[in-house]
Amino acid sequence: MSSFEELHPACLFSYFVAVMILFFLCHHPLAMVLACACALFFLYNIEGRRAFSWCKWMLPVVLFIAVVNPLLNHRGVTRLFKLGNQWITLEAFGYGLTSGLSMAAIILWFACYQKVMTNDKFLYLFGKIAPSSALLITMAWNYIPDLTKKMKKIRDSQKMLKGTEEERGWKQILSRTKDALQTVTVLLGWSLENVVEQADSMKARGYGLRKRTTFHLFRFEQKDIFFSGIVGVIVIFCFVLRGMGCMTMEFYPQIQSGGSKKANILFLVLFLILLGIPGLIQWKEEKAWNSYDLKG
Amino acid sequence: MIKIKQKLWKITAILSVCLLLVGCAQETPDRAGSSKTSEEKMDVSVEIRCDTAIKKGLTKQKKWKGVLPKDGCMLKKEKMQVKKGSSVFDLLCEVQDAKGIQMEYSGGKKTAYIQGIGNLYEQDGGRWSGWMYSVNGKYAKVSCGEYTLKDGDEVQWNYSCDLGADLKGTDKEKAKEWKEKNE
Repeated sequence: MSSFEELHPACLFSYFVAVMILFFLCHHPLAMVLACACALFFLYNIEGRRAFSWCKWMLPVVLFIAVVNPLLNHRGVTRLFKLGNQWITLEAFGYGLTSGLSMAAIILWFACYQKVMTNDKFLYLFGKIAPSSALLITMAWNYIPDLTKKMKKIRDSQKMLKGTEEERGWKQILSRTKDALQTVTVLLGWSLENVVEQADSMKARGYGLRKRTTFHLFRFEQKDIFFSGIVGVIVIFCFVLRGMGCMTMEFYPQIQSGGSKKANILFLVLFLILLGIPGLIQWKEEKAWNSYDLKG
Repeated sequence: MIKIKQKLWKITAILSVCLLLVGCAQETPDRAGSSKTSEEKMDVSVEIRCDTAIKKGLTKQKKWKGVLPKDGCMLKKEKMQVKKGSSVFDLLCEVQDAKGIQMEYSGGKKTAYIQGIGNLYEQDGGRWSGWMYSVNGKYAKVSCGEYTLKDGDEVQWNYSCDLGADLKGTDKEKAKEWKEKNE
């Protein structure tokens, strides 16, 4: 089997959609921790140590949500301490932590999605069914990275034109604000122009026509059937177990998880396999690649 | 870059402190102001009941196990001593501390709205449920933070599942009218 991203776009897209739906259904700390871990494992296999830079700002955000929720919400049976004249409860903290983790999981999995589902794949899938919305979505996804790239270019050229400033105090602040405003104006103008140009050029190339072929030709191969079969079975099992009340956790007024213990463990194992698939495929591929002795 | 990073950290730190402050901004009862009359105390009684929620069958759900009392009585009629000039809300705060009954409110001290008592919250017992208070059997039409108690007053907190229509001594016409208007 080759690397994960070489699977058919339809397989990849439906895999990610199913996983995201499961995330929204399972508001449970354990499931969310597993999800984060699997996403990091996958990202690690793709981009190495850089993957862990996600943790650097994800952890503070999770902790922040976990701390803020009990300050705003005082429900729960287990009291920890009194702040002002209301009690801080363990339940509210748990709820906040789970929410933070699920947010982190969704962001991390979107990062995985971006690594795997490139824009051409997305356009291949939806370019014919819904041309304008597909184009709009891909352009929106590209917008922020594109903006940062342009921002850097504008900044650099401004620096080169003006040289380093030696003003201090109020004057420095004033000139800096001026520069910032100018940058924003240029940036907006440039990106708007770019969007129009992009749309025109797509139209000129016959985008959205029925008979138009795509840049890539993806074929539905045996490995795709194999993959979607396994994923489909696991996802259906997960949904059934979830319907039976597994992996649900009620926080207020007291923490209680639903479903029997065995069913919950079964769910977690299935969940782990489902989420681990991309990372494992990638890992295996990496190992196979490294095992070829390229020096010899 | 490093400078920008430092600034970003500073800004995030300041922001988080602000947020923390906002989060804790539910004012604590003003102790300094009432200390002038603090020497004088008065006797009042308080009772907290949630019969309607029990009748609705909330205790049958697993999550309410051990949280709701089966007889519907969260706090038996109890004599309390409070400072003179205390409001119903002050009394409830006192109960929260002395009896260990959980309570959450929104709004300030004068405009307090009681969202939940003893982990039983508004809308837990259906769309029209929530807490109401009566003093000497009469339901007041002001916030509990605005109602000043007199010596010997009897306060009763009741949970209603039907805008007060299922309680004794409430304005049933008003409840019906409100329900029809907002249905």
